[in-house]
Amino acid sequence: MKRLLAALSLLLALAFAFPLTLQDDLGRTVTLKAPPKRIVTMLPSVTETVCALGACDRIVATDDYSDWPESVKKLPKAGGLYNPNPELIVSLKPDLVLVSKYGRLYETLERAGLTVYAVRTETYEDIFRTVRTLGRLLGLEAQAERLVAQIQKEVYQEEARAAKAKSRPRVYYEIDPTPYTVGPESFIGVLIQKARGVNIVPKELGLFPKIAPEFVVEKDPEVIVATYPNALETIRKRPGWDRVRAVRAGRICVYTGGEDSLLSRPGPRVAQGLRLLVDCFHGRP
Amino acid sequence: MTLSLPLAVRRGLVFAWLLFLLLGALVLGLAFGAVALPPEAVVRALLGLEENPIVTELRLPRVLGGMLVGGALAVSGAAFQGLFRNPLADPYLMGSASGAAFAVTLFAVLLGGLSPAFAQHAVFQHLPFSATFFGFLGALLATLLTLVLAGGVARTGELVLAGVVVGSVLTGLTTYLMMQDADRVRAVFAYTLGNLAFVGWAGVRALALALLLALPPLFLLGRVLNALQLGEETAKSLGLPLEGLKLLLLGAASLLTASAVAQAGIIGFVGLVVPHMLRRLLGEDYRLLLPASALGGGALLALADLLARTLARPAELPVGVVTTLLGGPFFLYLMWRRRGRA
Amino acid sequence: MGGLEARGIVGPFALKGVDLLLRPGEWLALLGPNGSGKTTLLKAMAGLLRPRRGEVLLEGRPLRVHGSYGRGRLLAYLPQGGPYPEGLLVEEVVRLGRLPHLGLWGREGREDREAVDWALEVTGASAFRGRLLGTLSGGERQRVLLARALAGRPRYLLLDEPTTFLDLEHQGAVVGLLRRLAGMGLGVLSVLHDPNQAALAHRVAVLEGGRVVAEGRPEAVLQEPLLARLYGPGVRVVRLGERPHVYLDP
Repeated sequence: MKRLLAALSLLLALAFAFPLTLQDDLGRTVTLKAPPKRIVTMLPSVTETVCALGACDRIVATDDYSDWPESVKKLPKAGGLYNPNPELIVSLKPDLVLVSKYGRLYETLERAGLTVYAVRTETYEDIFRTVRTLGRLLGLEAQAERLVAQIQKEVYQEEARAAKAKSRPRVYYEIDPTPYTVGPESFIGVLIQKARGVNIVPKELGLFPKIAPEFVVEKDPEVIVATYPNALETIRKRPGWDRVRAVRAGRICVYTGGEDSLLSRPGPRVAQGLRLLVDCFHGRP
Repeated sequence: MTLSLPLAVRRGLVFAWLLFLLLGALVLGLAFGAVALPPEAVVRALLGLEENPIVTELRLPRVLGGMLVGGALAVSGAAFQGLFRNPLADPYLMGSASGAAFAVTLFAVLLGGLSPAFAQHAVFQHLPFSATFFGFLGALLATLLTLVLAGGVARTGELVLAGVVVGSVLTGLTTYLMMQDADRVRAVFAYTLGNLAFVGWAGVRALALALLLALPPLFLLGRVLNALQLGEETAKSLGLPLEGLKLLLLGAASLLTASAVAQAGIIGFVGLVVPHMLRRLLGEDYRLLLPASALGGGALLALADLLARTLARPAELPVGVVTTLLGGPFFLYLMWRRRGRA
Repeated sequence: MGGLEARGIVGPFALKGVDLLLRPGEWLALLGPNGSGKTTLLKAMAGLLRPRRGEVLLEGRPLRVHGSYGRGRLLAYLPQGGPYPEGLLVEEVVRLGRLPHLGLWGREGREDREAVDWALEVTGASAFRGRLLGTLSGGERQRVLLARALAGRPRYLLLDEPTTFLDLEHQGAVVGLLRRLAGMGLGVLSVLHDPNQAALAHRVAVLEGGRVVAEGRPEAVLQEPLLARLYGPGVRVVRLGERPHVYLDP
């Protein structure tokens, strides 16, 4: 029954939705004559979303950093934001290329006659907006609604788990050892809040501020989260940080080797990233 | 003002000013920071009457470290400018900055290649192989490579050329490595902007040791640098064993640069501009210029770092950006004033 | 025996076998067309270039036997042109001439200060000892550089075109100084491009194609046939008293 419905909706979509004209996140007008069958995605979170919509088999190439699900690792790699490989992309004759709104790759590809759609995925809300947009682009609107509902349900489960915890620890989150941290309004900042942690960084500092070490020591966080290699050693060795409560209590959570992308990619696996934080702040169930 | 006074008086005044600036940088640097502390709390912490790691473990070593890094860079820049008789020479002329950046990137990539569990293994943690140590090694090896490529110190022009080549090649390799691993791009990029945030007592000790080793020969060889301003042939005709002396000067200056880069990354402008400013005030006597550069570089970088950590507090600006924004216009002002007098 | 002597010097560059003796107390002028090897010979005799064959004897012993400081104390070298340390005080420039006596670590004593005073005095540069070199005129600067060369109280002074770029007055002053220095017992060897200045020296040596082709008293060497070969057929020589005077008659 379900399958029949899906087939029916696809037919309907084919009949009424296409040709489809949309405005992308750069404000460009993009027209698709038919649902795309050969897609290149140049953003890891977009790759994940396309696959979560069940359209993984339509992807013919990804950027260098897309690594989930497992099946995309075998696909041709078309570079990154700073070193894209437009020749490879063109040679694959895709009927849709999904690019980041940063960089000028879309200009080159457009000149080569390709259909390019620029995506912005930065905030928590972007996750659901992007799922729905991709649903329309791919002619999978029903699946998109289901995916949104599923992600929201998973997120709610983690939030509910966090809500049971008695404490709300002060959290310092470090994305690189300069140190750069995250503001409360960034994607990770929202996750910290959902996991019932209190970010020590005030929102006035913006999304990704370079923070003064003495400020961190003064705020004395109870938990530190870091997402770069060797962070534990780096943080422990810092002058004066041995007085910080999180360091003394050994509450430093380091996420690398794939786990960090759960936290840095606003995509369909956001609840898994949230689970890491809830585990870190309040302990595993 | 000072420029119209007799030279001896002017020189005395300049040194007095530099000491005053250095002292001011120390006091202000300790008094202000991301966290607002009342002055008496700072004094009590310094006197050991009250425990406050923010003063004793973070601010004090950071201010002192900034002074040592700035002093090292400025002395090294002055020595290179004298050695190469080239006013555009800077401490990174011999490729040391690129060498350090390359080594640190390599370190990050090697470490990233290992599983996090292994990287955090107890044995691994007790090795002296920190990024700092790698940076120091990279800077020294790049300098050595430049020396080898130039076929020694005899031909000064070839040394400069070899330094440029080594620097460019290593920068290219660094960029390549960074492209392979986007997650670490930010960290290494931040390194190239320079950072004094985590200079602790260990860093201060390492810098002090390097300065202790390198400054005495440099200060004592001020006369040799003066003689070199007459041209290498004349210096040689005066009986100076030039090859050995140039190697010694180069070695001492490179030790200073490597230590500074290792502790604080690449901080531009201090090493280029401080000797220039002081040359305008003191003349070109390297016996005065080198110690003055040590004081001036120390004061400038400590003050620049003070601005970097207080202007947007509790966020910080990259200190290299501040040195450039501070030093550039002041340098232009000096140039413009001199042109006005001429 | 005294003197600075080149013996059978071959190479580097243009030199093809040069013998030349500079005695204490004489001013020897080195003439020759461009590319004849004048500067190379001067540098070889100063110990700055090593000859491929032959040797340079300083007071009867090979140069290297004296050691670099020993050589620096006995002979001073003044190159043509810069670089000029414009940001150094005149007095500091002249004091650099004491380096062969002080070495790297030596402290200046009374003898050093007296030598500096003497060098400034004899070159007439005392008046600007407190000024920066960069503030002097070309002629004043040349006096200071000469004072630097003399501050080491050398026995031999080797100068590469010391009068070039100077106006007539300063040319005269330098030439007069060289004669006086020779009178004090110094051996002075100067490369010159003006035969009329060479005519004021005690002896003249002419270098051509890497060899000394003539050597002797100015009136003996500065003859029309030789000069015509060096400088072209329009060269004329007249006598002003004893002294030959060279001019061009196109």
